[in-house]
Amino acid sequence: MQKRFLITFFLCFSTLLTFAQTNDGSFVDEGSAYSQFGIGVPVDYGSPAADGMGLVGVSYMEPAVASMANPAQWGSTVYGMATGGIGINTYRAEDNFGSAQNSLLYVDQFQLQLPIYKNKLGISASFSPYSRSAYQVAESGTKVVGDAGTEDNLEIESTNTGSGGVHRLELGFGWNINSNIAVGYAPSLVFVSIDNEFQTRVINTSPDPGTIYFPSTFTEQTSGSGFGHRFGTFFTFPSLLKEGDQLNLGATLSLPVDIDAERIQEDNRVSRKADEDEFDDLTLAEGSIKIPLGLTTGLTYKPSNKLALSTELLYQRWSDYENEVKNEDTGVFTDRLKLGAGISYFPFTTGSNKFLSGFKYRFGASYDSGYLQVDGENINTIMFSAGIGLLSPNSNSSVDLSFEYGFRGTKSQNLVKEDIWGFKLSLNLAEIFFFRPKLQ
Amino acid sequence: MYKVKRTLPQGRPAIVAGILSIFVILQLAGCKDSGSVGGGFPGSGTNVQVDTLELSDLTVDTLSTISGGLDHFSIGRFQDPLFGDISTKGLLKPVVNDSNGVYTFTENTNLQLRLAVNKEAVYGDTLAAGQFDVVELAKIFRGNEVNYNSEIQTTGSTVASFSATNEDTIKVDLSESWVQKFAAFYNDSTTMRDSVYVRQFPGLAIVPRNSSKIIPINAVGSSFLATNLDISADADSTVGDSLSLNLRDWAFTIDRTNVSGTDASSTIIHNTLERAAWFKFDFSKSNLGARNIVNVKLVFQRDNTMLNASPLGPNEVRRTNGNMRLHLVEGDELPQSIDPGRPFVLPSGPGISNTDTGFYQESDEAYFIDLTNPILSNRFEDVDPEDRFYLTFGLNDGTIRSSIIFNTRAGMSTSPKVIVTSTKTENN
Repeated sequence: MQKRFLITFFLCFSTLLTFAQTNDGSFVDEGSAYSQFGIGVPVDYGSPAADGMGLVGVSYMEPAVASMANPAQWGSTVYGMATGGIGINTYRAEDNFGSAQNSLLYVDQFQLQLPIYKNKLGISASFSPYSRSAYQVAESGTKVVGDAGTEDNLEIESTNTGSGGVHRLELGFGWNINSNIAVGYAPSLVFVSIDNEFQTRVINTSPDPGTIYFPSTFTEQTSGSGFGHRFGTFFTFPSLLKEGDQLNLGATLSLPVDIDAERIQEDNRVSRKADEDEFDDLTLAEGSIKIPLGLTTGLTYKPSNKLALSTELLYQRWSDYENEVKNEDTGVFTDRLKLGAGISYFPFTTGSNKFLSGFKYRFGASYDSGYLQVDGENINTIMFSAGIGLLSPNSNSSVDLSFEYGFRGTKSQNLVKEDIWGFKLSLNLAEIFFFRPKLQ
Repeated sequence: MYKVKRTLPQGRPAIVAGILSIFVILQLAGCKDSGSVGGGFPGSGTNVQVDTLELSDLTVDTLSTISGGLDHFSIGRFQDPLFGDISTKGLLKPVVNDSNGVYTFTENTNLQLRLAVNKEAVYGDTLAAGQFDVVELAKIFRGNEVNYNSEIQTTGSTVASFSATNEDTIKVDLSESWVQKFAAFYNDSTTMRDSVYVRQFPGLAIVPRNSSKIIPINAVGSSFLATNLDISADADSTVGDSLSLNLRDWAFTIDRTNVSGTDASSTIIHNTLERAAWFKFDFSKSNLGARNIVNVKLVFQRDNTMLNASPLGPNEVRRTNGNMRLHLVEGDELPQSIDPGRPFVLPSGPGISNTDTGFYQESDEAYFIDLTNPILSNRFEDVDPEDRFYLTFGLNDGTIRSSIIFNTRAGMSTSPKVIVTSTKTENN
């Protein structure tokens, strides 16, 4: 049966890859138009278990699902666990000048979570996105150049394609001080890698177009790295209101990260000599990118094993964001506040053998004030989420599918309003490769 | 921690997962449409920027170049109030070979010079008759050794005289005495005939007698036609009764005087390289100050004021058509790097069709030399600062053409300049 479970996962996975392609065979790779600001749109990834509730999961955990949401939760690790995921978002975007539909296929996190002392001390190693930049903007315009009598009427078509983002490689531990209090710490290597490719066509539309303008293509590349620090705490209050219930309180603090970065331009010219393959890249700017402080806190109440109610608050001080290597990143960043609430329902814990009782169900909604304020308009996001968990019949592993729908931004001030559809698939392995039950 | 009770029907989750996944993916992974939004965001696009750089100096140089063996040789005289009193003398000499010794010159043989006129390049009064003498040269010449300013010597013996008005081909009967001199070499049956002919037979000069026009002669299309020849009895029946002899050597000289005292802000340039202009300029990327170049052009404004202030008479034409050509020359490479040389003239690139450049554009009253391709190909990155860029006018093909351009002493709007068009983002 485990084999069938894995086959199902890989069937879903390969199907996702197959359909997430454009007609020319390349993967869809355009996301939010707002990802052209700064280092891209922040990714609030925490736990596959909380995805379906639209939450990070700072106060919510499931014992057989690995989570990066709160380092303190790693102290409760019982199984050896690994998780990885892939997803696709579709953006239907409109502004006052037109509309576009883009799809972004992304590989999400990879995490390995292991117990050192079961339910006491655990460690985690992970690779995950912090922000994602994926967009393509096309513009056209006209310009008259030259002096009177020698001027050219130019038609200019430019395309700006951005890709990349900020990722973190994190290694940390969590410690259950006692049955009520846990703490955790996770240092990380944070690195940025963002490419901006600019393609420009200049067409001379003068009646006597004596001057030919070449197309221009070049790439500006931002790269750099820094160290991050994340702290977490997790409180458990069992049998608070009644026998068998549980209240969890969790919080994390991510310290600001200073990334030592540079922005270069790749030389796009061809070499004249056969033995010269390329020319030196031009350094446009060097400096730091300051990723702001982040704070997440949440409260989860579980009246029983079957039901959990969770609420969460995320705060990121984006007004402190600095980017010395990208000139246009000034004056548009504002502090971000995200509020969310969700519910999870696990009917299978009752032992029912009805078909619909065999899944995990999760629902939630969130409001995100956004990290951008453009022309006085906050770019906020409202998102509704739902998830379903598929359990492996013979192990603690599971597949989590989550769906989300929401909208971001506004069309006022010539900004962009986006309708967002998302689907994510996570594979959560527990005990299969890392723990063998004694009785098996 | 809750206790998990697994009582699911076997296999159903797998089926459900597959169906759900496919359904959702089909809904979500919809095709991308071609629209674009967000173009108004800061830093989203590129701007086109134009930078104008000026040449610091434009110096005139006189180059002594070979005038023989070109496509044309020019004959005639014309007084151009702007470009000077121009007198040209043509030099020519027929070949002596024939078809296997079939023909023999006799006392009755006639020889007619047939000159093919390039009517498109006639300089002067197109309707007036040009008067010419064909005279015997006193010394031998070799076409590839004659310069425009070479001195030629004649015997004073006139072989023929003719006038030319508007013919496609000028036909001139040559004197019997000169024909017999030529016949002596032609009929020589020794193996040394060719070398003796080259060393001892001087050839002819065509000297103008009036100042009506300068006629460019197409050398390849011109010939000597011999008639009344003695034809060998062994000759094939298809052999014709006349013999056409091509030109073996040809050249011409130019004597230019009384050139107008042009304004200090203007520079005259001739295609014959009597006057060429040079300048030094650093076309490297660091000096141009732009990375994403879409066009670089040199602009030379023509001094139409001077042209218009020096009008020609009725039916007279001045040959100012031609393109400005740019050559990169090291000091010891003159003049061979220019003539024949390879000027930077053809822009090419992705989506760019080859187009000749450097031509005068009437609407802009200027010559534009497109340097985008050599700059994008990094052609000028390692140029010695002492190397010169030579500016020449038109092809040095034996015709006579001239132009006048504003130099670096002219005002900002008309002095020579380098215009660099590039794309920029807010970061570069």
